[in-house]
Order: sequence, then C-alpha cells, then structure tokens
Amino acid sequence: MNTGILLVGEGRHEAVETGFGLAQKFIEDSEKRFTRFSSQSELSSLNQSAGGWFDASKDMFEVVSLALQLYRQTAGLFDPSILEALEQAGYDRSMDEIRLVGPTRVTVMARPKLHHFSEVRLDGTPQHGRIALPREMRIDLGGIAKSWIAEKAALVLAEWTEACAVDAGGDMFFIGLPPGEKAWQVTLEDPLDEKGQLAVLKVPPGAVATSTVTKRRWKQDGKEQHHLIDPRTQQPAETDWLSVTVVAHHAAQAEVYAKSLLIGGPQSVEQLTRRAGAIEFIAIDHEKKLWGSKHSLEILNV
Amino acid sequence: MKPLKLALRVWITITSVLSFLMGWALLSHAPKPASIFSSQSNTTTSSSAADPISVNPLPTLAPIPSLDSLITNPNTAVNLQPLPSFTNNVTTTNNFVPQLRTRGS
Repeated sequence: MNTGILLVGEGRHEAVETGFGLAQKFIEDSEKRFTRFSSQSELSSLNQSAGGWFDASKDMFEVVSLALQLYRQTAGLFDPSILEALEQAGYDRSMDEIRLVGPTRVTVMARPKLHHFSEVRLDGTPQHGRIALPREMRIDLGGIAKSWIAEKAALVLAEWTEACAVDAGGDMFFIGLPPGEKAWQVTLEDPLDEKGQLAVLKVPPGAVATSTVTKRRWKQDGKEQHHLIDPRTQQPAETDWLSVTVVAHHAAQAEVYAKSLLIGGPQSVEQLTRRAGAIEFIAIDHEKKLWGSKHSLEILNV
Repeated sequence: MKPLKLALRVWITITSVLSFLMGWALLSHAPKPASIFSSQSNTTTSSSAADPISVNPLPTLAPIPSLDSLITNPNTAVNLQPLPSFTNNVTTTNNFVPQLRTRGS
C-alpha cells in the first residue's frame, strides 16, 4: 500500500501481541490481493478478465460491491475505473519507485472512456460471487481497499483487545476508547508542512480518512501531477482545497467522501453530504483556512 | 308579542342612527391622514411644524443572491462554514493514547 501502518491496542500484553500478529497477517494478505502493482494479485487477474466473468474471493466481491454503492452515492465523483487516466498521468508504478526513478510513460491524451463503472456486474453472494468488468475496463481499488483493510484489521484486533486503532496512512478506524478518554485525539496535519498541525480533532469510535493533493505528487514532462484523478476530466483534479478529512461510521465511506469532496470542492458539498448521511468533514484551503460541515466544530478540540 | 317586536325594532333603529351620527362626528374631528407620496416622489419625509406626521424611510433590502452564486460561493452553502484555525498541543491523560496524525493520501 506504499504506506506505514500503525496498530494500537489496549489490553493484556499476550492477547494484544496475538491480535497484532493476526491483524498484520490480514493486512499483508489483503495487500497482496488488492495491489495493482503485482501481476499476481487478484485485482490484476480481475482486470485481465475484463469482458468476461471472474470468480472473486469474498473480500474482492465485498470491496467491489462497496465501490459500486459509493460510486452511485457520489454520482461518479468516486470512480475506480480511472486507472488508465491515472497511469497516463504517470502513476504507473508504486509511489516508492516513482520517487526513486520517476514515472516511465510520457504524456498522452486520455482516450474517451468506453464504459462507465456502473456497468460492472456482480453475480451470486460474497461467498460464491462473480464479477464482470466491461471489455477494456481496468479498475484501481487503492484508496477504498486501504480503508476497508484498516477497518477489517481493527475488527480482527478488537477480538484481542479492549480498545484498538488501526492507522493506514491516514485512513483510521477506532474501536472502543482509550482508558479514561472520551474520544481519540487526531492531529490535523498541515498539508503543506507535514511536521505542522492546524488543529486537534476529538474523534468518537469509527473512521477518519484524509485525502490530499499535496502527497503522492510527481513531475511528468516538467508538469506537476498528483494521484487524484477527476473522473469528469480524466486529469489530475484542480481543487479549491488542499485536503479534506472526513469522520464517518465506516472507513471506506470516510475515504471515498474525503476524495469526492476534495475533487468536487465547495460546489459539491450540499449534494454529497445530503447523500452521505452521518458524516462530518473539515477541509483546508490553499490559504490554510479551515472549512467544515455544520457540526464539525463539535469534533474540533477547542 | 307584537308590542315587544315593535319596541325591539324602534330600539334597533334609534341605536343605529345614534351610532352612525357619533361615528360621523368623531371622524370629522380626527386629523387628516398624511400621504406617503410627496410631490418630490421621495419616500423619506422630514419632520417639520407644517407637516407634523413623518413616515419612516423604507428599509433598503439586500439583493437576493442568484442561484449561480449559491452554487459557486462556498460561504452560502448550508453545510459549509469557516472554522477557527489554531494550534493546540495534543493533551492526553494516559500514556496509552497514541499520537495520531491525519497525514492523508
């Protein structure tokens, strides 16, 4: 996932150690399943099967179902089928490799999309499910899979702890509360200075996710690029905000809405938050001013 | 019954006529209402000895924002508000509480 993962657990030492081991194993297995940078991954096999039916694992079926549901909820602002545009923008290998040697491809015009993500078909149950991608469609589940893994890993860890947290590169999931605390404290990082902080959030059990255009950046033919593709233009999004942090009940929901609000900007707030239900968000603009949803002040630690 | 009916009719007639005459007398002695329209077509009228009744100026209303501005101006979005920006050290009462940061991807 090209990101550090932090596991936190409160409980008996031996039990917590066991929980850490199981959660770590789950994360490693899931990463192998969902990465697009390995031809051996299940995601790569699914992409290669486009045009026909693919027998999916329970986890893959669950994440693709979730992706379809959130694609519809966000009216397509979240769209896993932007992989080709992402690669054409230069993100065609892992971020570690890009930072080391740069992107390989030269800029080419993105082809018009032949199919929409809504045309993906699911058949059966998660235990015995099949997925059919339209011909020539390839998908990237990077962000949504990372947040889904964080939540599932936290559920694994919770079996062995009294309270726990999993932080996968800013996608966090909390179960229970630290002893004596009424909330988890999360520092709202300055998107232009990773050592700086703009506020402290007090977060109830549930999920927090942040999307930003200041990380995962690279230069392609002298042009600054980043990894958040606007599905409407098939280009890296030009955003009014630098980052958006969302607090929600579920990690995938938080991650997808953080991304969608960042891409859609202030104009999309009413529509997205009305559809999302119980989420709060805090956005940081280019002048480092904070903007938030109606009840976001309640999660700011004043 | 007939005398009673006749008495009632007379009483109603006399009361109506007297009420009408009293109302006429009251209105004829009341001050004339001032017109809000002046010859200079100005909505504000100054208070003076010649014109003892003054009318307050009409309030000036702000223009109604267009639908376009509602869509494009973040300040008018119902579910979007500016928040205070501040620096606050993470304070914990227990060593267990981890130092988590939003980071982001």
